[in-house]
Amino acid sequence: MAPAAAAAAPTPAGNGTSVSAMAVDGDVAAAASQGFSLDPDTFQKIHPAEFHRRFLSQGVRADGRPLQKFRKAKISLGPVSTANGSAMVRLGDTTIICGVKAEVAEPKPAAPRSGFIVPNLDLPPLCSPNYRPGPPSELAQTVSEYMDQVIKSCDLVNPETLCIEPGHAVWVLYVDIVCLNHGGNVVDAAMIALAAALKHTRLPQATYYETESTVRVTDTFTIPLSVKRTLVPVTFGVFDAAVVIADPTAEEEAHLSTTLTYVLDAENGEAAYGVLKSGGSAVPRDMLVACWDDARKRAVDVVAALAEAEQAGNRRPDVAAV
Amino acid sequence: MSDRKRVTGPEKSVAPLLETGSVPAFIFNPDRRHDGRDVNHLRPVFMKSGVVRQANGSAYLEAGKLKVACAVYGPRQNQRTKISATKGSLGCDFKFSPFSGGRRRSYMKDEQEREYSLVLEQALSPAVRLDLIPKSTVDIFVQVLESDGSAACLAAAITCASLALADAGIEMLDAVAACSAGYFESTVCLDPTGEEEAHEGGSLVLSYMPSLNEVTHVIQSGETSTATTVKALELCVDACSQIHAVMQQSLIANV
Repeated sequence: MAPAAAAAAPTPAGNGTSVSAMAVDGDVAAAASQGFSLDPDTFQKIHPAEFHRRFLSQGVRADGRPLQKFRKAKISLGPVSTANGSAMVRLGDTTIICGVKAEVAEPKPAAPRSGFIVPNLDLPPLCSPNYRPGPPSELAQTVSEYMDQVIKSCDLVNPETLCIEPGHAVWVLYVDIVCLNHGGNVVDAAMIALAAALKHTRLPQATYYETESTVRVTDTFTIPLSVKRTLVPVTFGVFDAAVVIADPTAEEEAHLSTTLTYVLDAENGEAAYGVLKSGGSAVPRDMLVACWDDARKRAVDVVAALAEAEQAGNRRPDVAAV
Repeated sequence: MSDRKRVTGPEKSVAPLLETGSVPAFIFNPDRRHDGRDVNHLRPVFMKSGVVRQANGSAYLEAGKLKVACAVYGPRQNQRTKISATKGSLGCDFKFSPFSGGRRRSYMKDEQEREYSLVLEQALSPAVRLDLIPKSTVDIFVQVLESDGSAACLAAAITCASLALADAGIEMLDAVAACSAGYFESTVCLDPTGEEEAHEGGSLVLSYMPSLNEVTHVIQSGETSTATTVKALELCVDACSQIHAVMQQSLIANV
């Protein structure tokens, strides 16, 4: 499917579409009228927004995808053996690793049986030139906070199943999501990785010893978490407040007027656990609604990819080629 | 330390203790280690360059369970105040992922990460032609995804960073390959794993430029005799040449 789409599309490097043929306005048009033309790579650097606008007006995108086509989610489970559960998700160039580490803590007095799930997204300076070492970027903070809200509100894992000894010891699951390659749509990749890693998580058998007030565990990870549902995030970008594109790349993201993220339950197509329209321009209400159907179709594909990854076998010695 | 910019869990949490007697005693056998190697062998190593799209250069290295990714950005404008008009600088940042080791690591940089960042810079600077990029800086970011022996991690980071520098097209005198060794009394054990490291008497990390036959950095800790150290250095030099061959292959594969 993908190669056919790519062949039909005017790829920036491939067909040598000169800018003079495509020019419409402003200085570019003026330049074109004098027979001046730029090669596509230069044009992309000088007028990045216009570069994408030209593609989108033809119903295709710079990477060859149709507007509503998502990149295939590639999921592998268990790339990190030091974690209780882990997953690597790739969407095109975007690569994200999620590791779950289980530790023991005292529960809050108000909820003596409730464990904790602590999700954090890290966008290290490694993944993109836009990040510097130091405190997390605003995007990372927003997404971490949003994931925390969604996990809590949809009761993804019942916190009481994380109880070791009521009032004394519960599990804390630190879900750390690290982006290794920022190719756009980090939100989707991060939340798919979170869902996959939680499904892959195994806890050791834990016993609470009252006399020494410590928890001791076996050295094998055997007990799976009871994850209630599979959350699937689906993100759309809105270009010029009018054109909706699915699963934007990093280059496209820089010029979007806003993004829409839906968090769906894969098993129950009608259920929604979150909708996030993050700032930017206003969008018409029917656009919000129209994206639902595409989002549902996407959710089915992602769940299939997850099931495939689970079948491929847990904890295989994975060459996690980034 | 409360962190207002991240989702925080309970104030204090600890890695659980293992049941007593559930871990078999560690026995070091120089001819057959737990992963089947003898003391003169490295873990099989896999490298790939050009893995991070937006970076000027990048590399990924895997040796046994050890997994390290590195990206190089630059040469770009120096962010810090001290700008040398005659020489460029290397900015190195070494980070363990929170899930990479036995206990969960915090996002805050700890002492070990600071030390390793510094060693990384010291090991690579002699190889990079910094005189060609005055007033600018080359940023090297290393992220450990899974660690198995901290000295081995440092060595892998140096090798991986050097590969990423080459991938970025930064001029160097030679690629730097690094390798670690552990001391078990008078036995020198190449490329110790995390389990072996917990029982060794000392360790050595050598950074070496194989084509030039020059050493850029050595760091050793622990008590050994001079003869043992010399033996370890020789062993590491040989191993670095092997690593260098893999680096060259992976660079050619990416052309």
